[in-house]
Amino acid sequence: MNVEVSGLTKVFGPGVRALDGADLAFRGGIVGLLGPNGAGKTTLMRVLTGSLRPTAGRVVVDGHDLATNRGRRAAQRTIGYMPQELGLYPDLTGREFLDYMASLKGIGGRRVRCSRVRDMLSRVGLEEHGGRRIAEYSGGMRRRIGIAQSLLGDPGLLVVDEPTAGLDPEERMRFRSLIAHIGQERTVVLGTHILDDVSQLCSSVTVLSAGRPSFHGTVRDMIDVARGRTYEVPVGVPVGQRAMVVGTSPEYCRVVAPETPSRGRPVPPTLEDGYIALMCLGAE
Amino acid sequence: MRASSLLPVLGGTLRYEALMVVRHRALWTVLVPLSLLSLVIAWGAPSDITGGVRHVGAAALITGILCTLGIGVTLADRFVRGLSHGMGDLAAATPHSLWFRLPAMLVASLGVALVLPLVVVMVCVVPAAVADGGVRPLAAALAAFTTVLVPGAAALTALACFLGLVLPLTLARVATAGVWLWSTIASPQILPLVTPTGTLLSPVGGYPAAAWFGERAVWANRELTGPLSPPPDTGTALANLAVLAVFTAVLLTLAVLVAVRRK
Repeated sequence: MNVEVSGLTKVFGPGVRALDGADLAFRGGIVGLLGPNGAGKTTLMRVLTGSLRPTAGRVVVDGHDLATNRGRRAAQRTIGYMPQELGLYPDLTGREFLDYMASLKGIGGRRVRCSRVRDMLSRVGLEEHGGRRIAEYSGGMRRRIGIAQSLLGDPGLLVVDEPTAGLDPEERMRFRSLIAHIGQERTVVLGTHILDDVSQLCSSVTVLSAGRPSFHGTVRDMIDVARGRTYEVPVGVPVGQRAMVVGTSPEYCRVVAPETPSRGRPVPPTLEDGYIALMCLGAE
Repeated sequence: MRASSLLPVLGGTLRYEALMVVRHRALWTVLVPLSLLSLVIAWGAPSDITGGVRHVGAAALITGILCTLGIGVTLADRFVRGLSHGMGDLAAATPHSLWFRLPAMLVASLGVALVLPLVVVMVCVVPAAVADGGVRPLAAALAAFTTVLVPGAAALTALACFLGLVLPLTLARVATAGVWLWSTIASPQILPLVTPTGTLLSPVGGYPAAAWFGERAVWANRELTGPLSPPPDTGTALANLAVLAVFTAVLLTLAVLVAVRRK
């Protein structure tokens, strides 16, 4: 599914420009959306799902312009969304909650909804817990219910905001596997701070900075930003003011620097090095 | 919005909002004692009841004054919990219209919360029916519940839900209680306050109770005179109900506009 964003601006109150004339295009696959806190990731995702109206600019999802009520409703029938903050109704069971969300998505017919809800519970591994109240769910189970509701309408575009934040390693692996599977047949926009998730899952990466995309390319392209700028320097050797230390071991510091530090040895960069290089040194 | 997609939205909202109110422990913690208190006050021995219809009208009025307060205060969170961060984002990303969903939320919540007051009024039918020697008080009780109690409860709950959207929840609950007492109890003859009490604007249900169920006129106009405090009759009772219907509709409209503006 194609998503076109042009000149997108969102202003919250005087002086707070969460998005500032952003231009973007997504065409299938899993797209990682990176950026520091306050860069506009969550705002962009809320605008893409039609839950937030932009101040200016245009968003077209699968040919539907979100500026009109008709276009937004049509687009929302093809979009699944899992927000960062999942304030699900604690009084409902997982099954009841999914049925309620299916109703709000306009999925008609009790039998059809029941069947979809059963499928989704099974897909996220919660079929045995569907009768329990959400208040009793763990954080990981709530996230799984969150992803299940996002898939209810069989969406062509799935927008997920920090899906693995706060999960234990086992849940994170389960989630990655689920999103990787979903991404085979849909466009997925994955907003995250976890670079490991991006390197494992995403075919392309967009980095937002101050409300605008500062980078868009493949994961390989992003790693290449740090190529020739990543070094190992013996511990205790000064690395220079512009160098960013990205890791340490008992013998070496791993740094990203614009010039070769004294006694620095070039090493192959990782995605994290690429991100640090992009944010601190620029894309040169 | 197409009817085929509107029906699941309405059906789902009515069903699950009602279910969540059934499981809303605070509502029952507040409403059960208030209902029992209403029953104690409204109950009368058959030998003390001079007219069965008047008795059930009075029961609806008393139950309304006490229980509506509890309903309004506890249901103030209904809109905001479905529209706040997290759940609100999820719902906003679905293709439903708030113009249908918010009224459905109000109807579902009230539909459940009003069950206990209905039970109180219906229990009061028993001595009234014995006193009258017939079932006429039963029909009168249903009519009194619908015309005396429900309109005020709908108006107050709509106000509470709207206030819950624009104020911190605790403040919204306090304001709801204040508005109810100000508009139903605080008579200008007792307190030097400008108040709707004793006028056609009051949600207490005094005009229908006095006009149709033989309740004393003091419940309607508090012995005030003036264009807003006419003597109770069918016309003024209908005018009072119309005012409450408009008030409820305006508050719902404001709530939807606030919710839409937050997008």
